[in-house]
Amino acid sequence: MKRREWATVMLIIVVMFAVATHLSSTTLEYNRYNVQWNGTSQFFSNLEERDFEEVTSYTALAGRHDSVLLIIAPGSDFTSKEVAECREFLDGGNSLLIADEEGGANALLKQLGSDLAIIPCNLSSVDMEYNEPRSVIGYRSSGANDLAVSGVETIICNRPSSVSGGECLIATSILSWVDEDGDFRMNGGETLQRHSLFSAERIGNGRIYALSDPSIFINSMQGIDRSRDNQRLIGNLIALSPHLLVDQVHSETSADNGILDLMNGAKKSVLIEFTALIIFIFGLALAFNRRIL
Amino acid sequence: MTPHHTNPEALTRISQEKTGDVASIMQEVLDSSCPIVIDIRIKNFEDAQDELKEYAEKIQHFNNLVINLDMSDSEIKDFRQKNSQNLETMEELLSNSIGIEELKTLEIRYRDEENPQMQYSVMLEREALENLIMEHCRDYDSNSEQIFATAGKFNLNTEEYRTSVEEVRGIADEIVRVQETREMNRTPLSGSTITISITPDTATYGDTVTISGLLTGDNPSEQQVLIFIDSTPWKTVATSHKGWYSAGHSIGRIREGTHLVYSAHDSTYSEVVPFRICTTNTTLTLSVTSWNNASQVLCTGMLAAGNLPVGGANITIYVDQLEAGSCTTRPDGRYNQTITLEEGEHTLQAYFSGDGFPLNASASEVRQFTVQGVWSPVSTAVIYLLVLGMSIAGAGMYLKRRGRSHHGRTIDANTGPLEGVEEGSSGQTSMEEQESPQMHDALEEISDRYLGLWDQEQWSEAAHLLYADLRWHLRKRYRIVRIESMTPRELAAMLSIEPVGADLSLFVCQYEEVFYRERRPSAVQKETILSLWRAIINPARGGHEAA
Repeated sequence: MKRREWATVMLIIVVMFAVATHLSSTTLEYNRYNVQWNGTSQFFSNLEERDFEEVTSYTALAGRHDSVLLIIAPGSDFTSKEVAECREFLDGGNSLLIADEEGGANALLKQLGSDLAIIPCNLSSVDMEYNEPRSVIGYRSSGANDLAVSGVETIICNRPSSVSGGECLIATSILSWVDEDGDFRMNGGETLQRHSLFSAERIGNGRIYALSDPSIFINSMQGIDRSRDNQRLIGNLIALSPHLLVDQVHSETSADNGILDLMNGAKKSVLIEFTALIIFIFGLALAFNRRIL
Repeated sequence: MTPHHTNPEALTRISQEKTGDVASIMQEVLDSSCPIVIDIRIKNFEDAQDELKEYAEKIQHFNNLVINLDMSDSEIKDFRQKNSQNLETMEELLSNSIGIEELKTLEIRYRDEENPQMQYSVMLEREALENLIMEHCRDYDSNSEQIFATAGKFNLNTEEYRTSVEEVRGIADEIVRVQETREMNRTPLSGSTITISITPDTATYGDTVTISGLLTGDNPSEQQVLIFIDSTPWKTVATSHKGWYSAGHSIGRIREGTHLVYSAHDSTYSEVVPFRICTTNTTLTLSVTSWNNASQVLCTGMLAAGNLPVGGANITIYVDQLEAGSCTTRPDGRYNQTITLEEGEHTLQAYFSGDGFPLNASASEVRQFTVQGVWSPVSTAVIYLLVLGMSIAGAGMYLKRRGRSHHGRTIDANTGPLEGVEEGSSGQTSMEEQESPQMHDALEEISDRYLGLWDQEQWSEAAHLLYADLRWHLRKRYRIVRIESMTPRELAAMLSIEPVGADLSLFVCQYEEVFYRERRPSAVQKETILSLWRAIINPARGGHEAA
């Protein structure tokens, strides 16, 4: 192959790599690198505008004060050591906020001595934001004056489950039911009742919050207009304590994806981006100078 | 959509918050019965009728809301049903109370006329109505438990409803006192007696109950006995020679609950016996088919109570949860109703309220139906065909151009012949250039014109005619761009290595000599130029001639 052809092939490879890196993404549910509607890239992008700390090991919880640990969609079991670290974290007067609809955090909650539990179910309501009964509207419970729901009147949930135990902060309306047969309709045997969507409980010196719909953090739920208080609720949650810690051990927001993580790591580094750009321009200049291209 | 969430952008935003509306109308329904009951008790029947009408409207409003919110099968259904039953109960209560007052007037009249037999008949009729009222009161009381439970769940104020229940109990207590007094003062009128029994005493829709009894007296044979159901004459039957009478009553369109039966012969009346009709669940089907005109759809289905078809029942069709039409079932339980729909997607559902029947309400499955615009399928097809045609045309053009560039070659007049011209592909005359009959005629025509010009001594014009034709052929054959800007010599030089190169050089020499010189060319030149022209544009034939 002639030099010119070699140069052309190399140029194509470099351009393809650059494009692939630039467009690299994922469609994993809740993944922080997923820019699609079901990812949490927008939420994490907003978080980057303020101070927060990624927790990649629960040993980092030791000795914390005035902190809140946010666990979005926990997807793996907690070890007994991690449970002990969480307990110590709560004893330090910190808060633990779990957003879960699958019940993945129930074992942790139980071991921490909490009455809170996520009840996975097809929660549906006549009071719905979209033309689907599972776009449930949640209402702040009368008398709930926790900081987490300060200024929050109504929120939109997206296929939530329900929470049992603790103090109910946000609940559905009475015209809500668990759609046992999944037909989106109220049938005989499916009783109407209020279901808690967001509850809290004091454990020792700390406080545990359980939100039964982690979907409020996904990208497509970030654009909801101001007539609902989703953004205010999220703002309250991340500002519950001066120090925000975000779980990247069990949360599905951090699901490992091999080469994608490498690419995203490269994208996040300005130094790497500039270095690659300079090498590319230098190569092009050399090719033209030697009349290869 | 995933198991965890739905993309809101794929949904339609409706921001539906109906709990307040539902609770509000439930409270109104709950509060409406109290003034009716009080007015009935104080015998203010005129106001009671107006209030009953308002109560019925509120219940209808509530029913519509329940259907619109697709809550027909929810536990709210019980609240709705109990209130519908209360409405029927109060209608009966009012009607029977008015009847009792009228009978009281008659009783006084017959007493004044000293007509003890008619007075006794009226008194018995009144007693039957009183018994019915007692049953209504019990029905109203028994519904209250469920209503209180639902009201408590929705945090409704039950004070008014509780008052109404107490008032109804008060009405029943008054009747008991009146009947006790009457029983003490009762005296038999004649020696005849008539008994009555009903079997079974509990029935459901489609069952047949048998009402029978025995008339005794001086001549019980072949006598006419009139049977009353709920104080209304139902049927006249003849007694047997021993005085027995019997009639079967098929349970059809009659309200659920307790009914009272008695029989009469002349001035002889039987006792009043009750029988109860219980409710049965129903099933309602719906299928939707399009009519000739796509905007008209035919809704068909069947209403059945178990395996029994239900005839004469009113079926309401809801389109997009709004009432769109109603019809009545035939004796076989089937119904059909034509509905006109607007263009777009619609949901259709049939609904049976159960009113007037001892049957529970039911709703059909929700059916989806899409009405397409008249032009929509056509325009879609046209667009598809257009896109398909354009794609095919584009692909054809591309392949044609690609084929040219692959199989032909292009010679730029500025750069000369390309390197590596394959012998045969360029030098050979293509099939298109083989002399066809049309081409032969064209050549002969040019040849004739050439000879004509030559004979007119227009030698330059004649030579140029052939050169112009030659240039046209060579441009086509060798795909030479900008050939017009080339001199004949440049053209000859460019094609010097081609098979036509030698002939073309000779032609150019002869052409220039004739074209630029003013003296008369020779006849040999005339033939040479013509032969070379023929040889170049058609080597297969001209070549031989030139040779």
